[in-house]
Amino acid sequence: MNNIDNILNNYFEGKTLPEEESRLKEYFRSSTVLPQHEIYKPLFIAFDKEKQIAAPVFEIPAEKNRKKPFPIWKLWIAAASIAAVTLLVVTLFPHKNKVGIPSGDYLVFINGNEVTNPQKAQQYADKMFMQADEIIRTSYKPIVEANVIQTEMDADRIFDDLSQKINYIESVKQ
Amino acid sequence: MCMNAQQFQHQILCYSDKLYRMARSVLKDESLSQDAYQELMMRLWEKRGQLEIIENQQAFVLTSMRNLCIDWLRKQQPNGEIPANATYPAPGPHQLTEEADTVNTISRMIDLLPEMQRTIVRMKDVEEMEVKEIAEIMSITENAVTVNLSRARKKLREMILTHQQQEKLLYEQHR
Repeated sequence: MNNIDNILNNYFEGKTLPEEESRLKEYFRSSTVLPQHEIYKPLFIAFDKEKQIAAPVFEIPAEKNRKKPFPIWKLWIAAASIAAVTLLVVTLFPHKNKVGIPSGDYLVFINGNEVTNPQKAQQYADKMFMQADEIIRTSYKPIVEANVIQTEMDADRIFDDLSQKINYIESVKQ
Repeated sequence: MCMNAQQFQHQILCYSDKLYRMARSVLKDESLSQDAYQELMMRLWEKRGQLEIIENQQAFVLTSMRNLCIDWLRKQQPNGEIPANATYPAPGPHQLTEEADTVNTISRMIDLLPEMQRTIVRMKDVEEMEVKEIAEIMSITENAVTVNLSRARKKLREMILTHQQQEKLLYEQHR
């Protein structure tokens, strides 16, 4: 037991090796502790007892559905797409002045003839629009008239009117 | 990549008991220790995205726990805690009957040690950590750990012997 005394002394001097400390703990956990060492038994029991102290429960908070950050490469694609569309619009639809006539060379084809005078082209277009309007108006008139006839010839309405008249006559007779 | 709940459970919550015991050792108050533990866990959960890159997670979380508790201790006791040269007060007869459990008496004796000494003695003798690990957590040299451990154990021995003498004296007085 001299060995235990030595280890114990070294322990209190802070000079014990981990293996010696393990041996000391095992000794004090056993039922063979000598009376002269009994005084130190509570110390080692206290260490074991403290090791049994458990933490309170920690509830992990529910994870929020974090929105994933928009990837940079997607931003680049979006920017490139916008740039491409803008370029396309500028190319296909050139800038026009306030009166709506292109500022560059003017050329339209009317009935296979080249017309370079914007006013003449405009007059021709107006005339064409007026003719189109007249055609639509005259074409639409028979349709309106047909609708009126269809309304007047409505079978349900005619039968309703007839049944009302019959009822009236019968009531007068009685 | 951000740590999910399962990873947090495996990598951080596995140190729960050690963290809570560390809080109890520093704060010496059960209720306050529970609050400090919950506070740290919540902070760790919020910062879980940064925990993956930490090499020694055990050392990191234990250091964080100790620092948080020391901050709380400073807020509560601006003048500091028990001085380093505090001695174990002789128990009265009333205390002796109440403290029949000598194991609790030992825990009280450890609590009388200065914060650094009691934390080191508990990390060594309760948590069975190596001097190198303790040095990393406490941010001191291994030699400083050994010196503090030696001082703490010597004081504990003194307190145990004093307590035994007081008990004998009281026992003879009441015979």
